[in-house]
Amino acid sequence: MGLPIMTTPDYNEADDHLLMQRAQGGDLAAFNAIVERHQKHAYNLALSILRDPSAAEDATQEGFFSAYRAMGRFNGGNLRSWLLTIVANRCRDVLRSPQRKRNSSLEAFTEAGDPGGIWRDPSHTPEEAALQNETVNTVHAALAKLPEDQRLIISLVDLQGMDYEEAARITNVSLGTVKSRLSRGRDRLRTVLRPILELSGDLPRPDEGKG
Amino acid sequence: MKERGDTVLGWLKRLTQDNYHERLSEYVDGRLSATETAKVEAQLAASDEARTEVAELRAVADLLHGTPMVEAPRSFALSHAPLPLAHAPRQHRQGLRGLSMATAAAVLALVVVTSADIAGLAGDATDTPTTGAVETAFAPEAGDGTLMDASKQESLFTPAEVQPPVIQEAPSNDLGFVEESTVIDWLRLSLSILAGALGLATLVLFWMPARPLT
Repeated sequence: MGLPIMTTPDYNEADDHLLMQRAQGGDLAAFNAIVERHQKHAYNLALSILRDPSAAEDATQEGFFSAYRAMGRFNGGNLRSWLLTIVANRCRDVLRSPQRKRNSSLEAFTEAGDPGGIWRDPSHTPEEAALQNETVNTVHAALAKLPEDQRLIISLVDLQGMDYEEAARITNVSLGTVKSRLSRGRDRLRTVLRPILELSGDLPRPDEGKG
Repeated sequence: MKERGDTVLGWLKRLTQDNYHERLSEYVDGRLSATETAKVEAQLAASDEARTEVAELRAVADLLHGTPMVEAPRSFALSHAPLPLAHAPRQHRQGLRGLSMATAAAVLALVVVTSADIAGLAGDATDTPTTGAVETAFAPEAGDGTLMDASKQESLFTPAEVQPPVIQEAPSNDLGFVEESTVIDWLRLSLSILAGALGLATLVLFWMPARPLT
């Protein structure tokens, strides 16, 4: 039985597996609907590994090319994990590449004051936007200082909202390793981010009792 | 992991501490079982330090959860379907085809040689030369270079001495059967090595293009 005819809005509504089924049948629009759906996660993952917006952009694009070529091998399971694993592998290849240039790190990028305004939420007032931008920049700068393995897990679990199991699949490490890296990463961030947490009033005052 | 200069006791202590921090981090994420949660909560009730740590961990996690992801700078949708990798590296594919054909040829040659050895040449090697030829070749000489006549020959041999094994062992060298068999053995060995090496190279080349996709 053939697959139903779909229009662009249908692609937006369709479930990942139906889209993949169509993409495997040669439907490029269905594959692109998958790309559009997961590209933000893919790009953020690449950015957290490479810390270079330009390199992350290239790695994300190459990851999707590789995914298109390899989609015949996808046989169910979590499509997002599968795509992000390919992107993460591509990023590791980039890190191993001798041609890799580290002249544009995320740290430098955030210190330059977010030139592209990519973290700005258009619904905020300029003041709110400035404050939010500052907080976001501080968080990303703090993340940039973490060791790569901890940064990656924090990015997947805390920024992208994935569960431990998905993070373990994408990074190809055990669940125990995910827990350990997450705990160590958060512990470091706790120290680095304490000033802004205190300013925002998110931390309990020392004199506050228990319960 | 145990670090240099670390005592076993210190290492165990760090391990326990790591485990303790991990447990609190999991507690913040609500990933502990009911029993483990109860244990952590008992610890929190007893320790200010533990309560502060959990509060800070929760604040960090909330801050991170509330931090927006970076927007993708552009769409990564594909403008065209990329060529399957199987077609892209032409040189690899051509090399693979050549190697596969060479492997097949070597295996075929090995089969031919082995079959010939079993069916034909091996059969020749066991052939008994014609009785006349053997008789001529081994007919005792009379001392002046002429052959003895049959009646005299009969008197020189006992029946045991004319048994086939004695007669056949010597001529197998003289007629070159051993040398032919050695040549075939060498040929077979060489072809086996060649076919094995080519087969291995084919497999390696076949596997190589698939790597970048994983």
